Amino acid sequence: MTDDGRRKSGIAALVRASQAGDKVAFDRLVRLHQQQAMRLATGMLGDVDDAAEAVQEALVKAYTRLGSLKIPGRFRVWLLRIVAHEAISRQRARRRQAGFLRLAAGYVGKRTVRTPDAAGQTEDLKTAIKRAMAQLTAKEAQAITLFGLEDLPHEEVARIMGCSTQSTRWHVYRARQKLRLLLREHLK
Amino acid sequence: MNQDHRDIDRLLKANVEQQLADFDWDKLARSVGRRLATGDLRRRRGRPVVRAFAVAAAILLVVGVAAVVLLNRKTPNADTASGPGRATVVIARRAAEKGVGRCDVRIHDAVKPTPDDTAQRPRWCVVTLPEPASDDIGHDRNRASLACLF
Repeated sequence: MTDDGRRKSGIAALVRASQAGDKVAFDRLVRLHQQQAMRLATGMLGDVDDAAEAVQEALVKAYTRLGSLKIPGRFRVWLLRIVAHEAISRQRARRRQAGFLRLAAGYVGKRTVRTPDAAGQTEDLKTAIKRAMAQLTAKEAQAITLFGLEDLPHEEVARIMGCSTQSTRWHVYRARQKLRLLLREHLK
Repeated sequence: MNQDHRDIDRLLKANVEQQLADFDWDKLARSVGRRLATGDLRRRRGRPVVRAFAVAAAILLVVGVAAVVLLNRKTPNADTASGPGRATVVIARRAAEKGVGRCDVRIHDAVKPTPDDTAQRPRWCVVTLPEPASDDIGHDRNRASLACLF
């Protein structure tokens, strides 16, 4: 058996043990997958603190739904899908929050409230990317992060996103087009 | 893949690597483990500012509902008699069956009668129940209206 095969069967065994209620086994799964989960969430949200909250929530959700995972060998794809959904949900909440804050600033009559969309003269790369990712659709953000950042093949990106490879190619293309415009200052 | 695309991917990767450079991985795993151990599986609430808006919205909603309820209580099933005088008709209980409407009515004097207007005390009133349009049988009559003479 190859190293990859041994690793997959090891993960499958941990998943089965976790499904049986073994929290130590689940802790091992968390430690094995948390880095990839964090890279995905940070890439989609553009902020490590938001990403940490999303990943923590996703891992707890994964534990409670572990019984619905029929094929233990697909744990990674299954988990990344939960993480992506959690990141999307946070991105939407952030947009709603920005709307509230804009509304509040309008009532006050002056823009004293800083919103995530506020343009800054000296914004750094982190802020610029966070703002740019917020301009993408959920699918675009997910696709560009999985394909462009994680270097996953289109087939795996499609499995995680639950759509066809043609769709993922289109989402990656659209995301890059938008990011090229939104990040042009940093691409010089 | 053209140069722009490579640059975008490079930028995204650099940003993520930079942010995760000093991330406390052990803390994340421990936080998850602690939540599983304590059975705290509920979804964590959002940030304080969002919570504040949510609380404010909830308070406004409660106040609004309370105001509507109080306003409705001030005029419970009250109707003013259309006859002479200024009596108020209060429909104390309503009951409706198919083709038959029933209600108990109490009549209160709205103002103390003065010696001059004792003759204007109400002698009749009209009680009207809600009805579908199909029950309107024309000639200013309908099945749900009832004239009471005293």
